[in-house]
Amino acid sequence: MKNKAFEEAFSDLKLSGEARERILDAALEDGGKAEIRRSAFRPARAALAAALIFCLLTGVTLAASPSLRDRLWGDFSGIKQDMEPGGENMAVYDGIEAWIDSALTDGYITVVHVAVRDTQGDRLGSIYNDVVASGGKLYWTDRGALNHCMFYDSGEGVGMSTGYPPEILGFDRDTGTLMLEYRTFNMGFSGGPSQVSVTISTGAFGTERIPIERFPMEDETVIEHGEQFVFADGSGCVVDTTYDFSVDTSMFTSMFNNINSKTGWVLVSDVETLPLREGTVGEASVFLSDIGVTLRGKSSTAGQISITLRDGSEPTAAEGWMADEQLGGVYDEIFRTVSFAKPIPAEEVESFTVGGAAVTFE
Amino acid sequence: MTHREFAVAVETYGDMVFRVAFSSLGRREDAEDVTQEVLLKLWRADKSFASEEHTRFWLIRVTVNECRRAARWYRRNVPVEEVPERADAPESRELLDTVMGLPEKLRVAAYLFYYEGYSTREIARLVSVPEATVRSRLSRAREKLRSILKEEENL
Repeated sequence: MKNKAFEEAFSDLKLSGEARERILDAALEDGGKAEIRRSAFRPARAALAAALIFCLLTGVTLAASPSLRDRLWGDFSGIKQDMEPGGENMAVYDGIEAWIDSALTDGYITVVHVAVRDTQGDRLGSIYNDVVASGGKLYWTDRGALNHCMFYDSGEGVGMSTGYPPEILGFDRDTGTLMLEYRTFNMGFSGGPSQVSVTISTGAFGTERIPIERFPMEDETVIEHGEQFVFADGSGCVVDTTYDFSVDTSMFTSMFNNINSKTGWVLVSDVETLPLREGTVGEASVFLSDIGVTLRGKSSTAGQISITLRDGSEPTAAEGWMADEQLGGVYDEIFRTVSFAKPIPAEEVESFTVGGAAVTFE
Repeated sequence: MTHREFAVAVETYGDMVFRVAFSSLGRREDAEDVTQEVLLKLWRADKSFASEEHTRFWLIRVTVNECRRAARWYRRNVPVEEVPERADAPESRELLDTVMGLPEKLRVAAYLFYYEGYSTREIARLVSVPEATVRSRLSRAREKLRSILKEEENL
């Protein structure tokens, strides 16, 4: 929705003439070939490039370097859990590997970094900005049906979500690795193994906006194993087994057609759960960990969450990294999760106030 | 793409890419760097787009990715230091200052919604977050802008 005041305010923000000339000159100079600016992976470029060559020759998968992991996690690097590629932690399709590189969870908030690498070429890197990753919602294996899902396999107890795409952190041209960040708020359920599905579609920009709106979004439209579903535009699919990720060069809207392409889940079952503290306010429970706070209660529970530390300070919940919150739930329940901008040790939290009511911890 | 066609593209889309980058990064110098990076990607990609809207969508998406990478890789968190002077339009200047004072994610969402005219679903796809998150960001931005922004379009 355009707004006149906004248009007036931003209309004078223009690229300078000097910048235009620089860009045109740069295009002439590199002829479309040269790199203009290297990514921040550059410091480890030589070593990683050598390692990649080794890996390509030997078939060994290269995990993200410790320094890269730390950089991607920022202030959370000290409490995230690193994982090694291979075995159950890796799914492979058509020469493209996907694996959990590192993860962090407190039982409610889960953040997973998934690495995806092409072992046979540069299908990801050459179209990095056309990559759309989806299917990223984590499903606790026995509660998948409670999520809004596109497909749900009752035999496996898993499904794929339409509504929670991951953030593409970047593409490391030195190792040929695409890094994705998946986040989920687990609707109050904790424990048990979880799985992450990764769907990669390339060449994913169609002229039609947001085809995702055609997906069935209600729980009752969950499609069982083996059932066929035909969408309004005539495209469709047969729900087969479970699906991890697929690589396709078709348009985003045709992902229905290749979703059966390969099976193989990436497991996150070994991720350690951080300790939680539980408090209550009214009809709601509050779960606190070092990485965030989750409010679970009746939908009537609302209001701003404020945090007071033992030193009297009141940090903002989060602006920037992990700043999202999500409302959701079923049966008149509300789940509101706010993740912190940086780790806050639970023992340093003096109190919570939710909608003006103080939270006491047991 | 010939160099002449590229020059036309720079003329057509340069300001848009720059504004998106500026709304994200808050500094002219950084925004110009990202603009150069994005437009050179267009030059190198030599893509064929189905429509102008397709081109704009691709460019904004690439710009968002580049800004995100720049911010994340370099961990730069710098304040807004430069906003063009508009002596003749103090209200516009006030709005721009206020928008640029918002957290990065809020101001990008506000810019794409109120200036570029994208829907919340489209913004969700552009910035790779759930639509509910976009709505939340717009709501928070709206609260902070309400005293300045004319409610002419049913905010």
